[in-house]
Amino acid sequence: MSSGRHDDLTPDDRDLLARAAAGSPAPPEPRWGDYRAQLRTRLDARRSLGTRVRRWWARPAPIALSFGLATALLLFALQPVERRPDVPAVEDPLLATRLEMLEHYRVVERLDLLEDLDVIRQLDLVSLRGR
Amino acid sequence: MRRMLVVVSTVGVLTGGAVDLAPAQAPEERQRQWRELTPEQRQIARQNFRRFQELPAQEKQRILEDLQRWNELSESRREELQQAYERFQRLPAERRERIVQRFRQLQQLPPDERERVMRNWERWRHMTAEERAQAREQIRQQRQELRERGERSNGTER
Repeated sequence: MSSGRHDDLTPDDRDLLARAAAGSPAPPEPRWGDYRAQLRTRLDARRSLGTRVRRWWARPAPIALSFGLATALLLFALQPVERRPDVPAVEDPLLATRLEMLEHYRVVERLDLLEDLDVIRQLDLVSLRGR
Repeated sequence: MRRMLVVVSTVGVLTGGAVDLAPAQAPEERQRQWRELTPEQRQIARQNFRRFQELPAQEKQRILEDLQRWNELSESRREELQQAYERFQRLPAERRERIVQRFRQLQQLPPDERERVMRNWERWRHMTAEERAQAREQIRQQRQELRERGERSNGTER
């Protein structure tokens, strides 16, 4: 409260305040020694190796993880193009070029039998000359 | 016809390997085989791949099993089967259908009856053309006699 400062206090108010201030006890002195000791402990803890490692790891880990996932996705997407540029998804040319034969395979492998099945079924019922 | 030619022409070139059921074929080997095909053959192969994908699961499984069996055959047996396939393809459609029906009949025979047919077939395979003709003739005569007997007995009953 400077003397030059303008306020709405009357001389009586000022007098009352001055007397109240004179009658109240003085505030305690700050314990600067204790405060400094606490502050030093906190700063030392923050500067310790473990803390620094944890802080270092906390930042690159999400970045590295994101980068790794992006790389894996990219490789997965590009792999078929890079490794098999010309071969279709079901990649056995043997199957593709023989599909029609394979569809009839079991008939074809017994074609002789099937062509003469009626005769062959009764073959054991006939006796042939010279046999 | 073109498809058949592709199959016939590539069989001689492509040998060994299989899918799923057999030891896996190296991707490099598949790529090599693929590169050996002409653009037209590749086009047909792609169509076949798509067709294969659309087949029922059971049919796909059967085809894969047969492919494995094919891969395990000797070169001479493959040649025989290839010739048989070409012969089958040349048959009139009606006759091919009859053969497929006979195949289904054979599949449905009781096991002992099927075994008997297989024994007969083994014998048939070792017969000469003359002996086969003789057997056909005898069986034809037997059937004729049975038919005539049946007709006679029907006539007597009436």
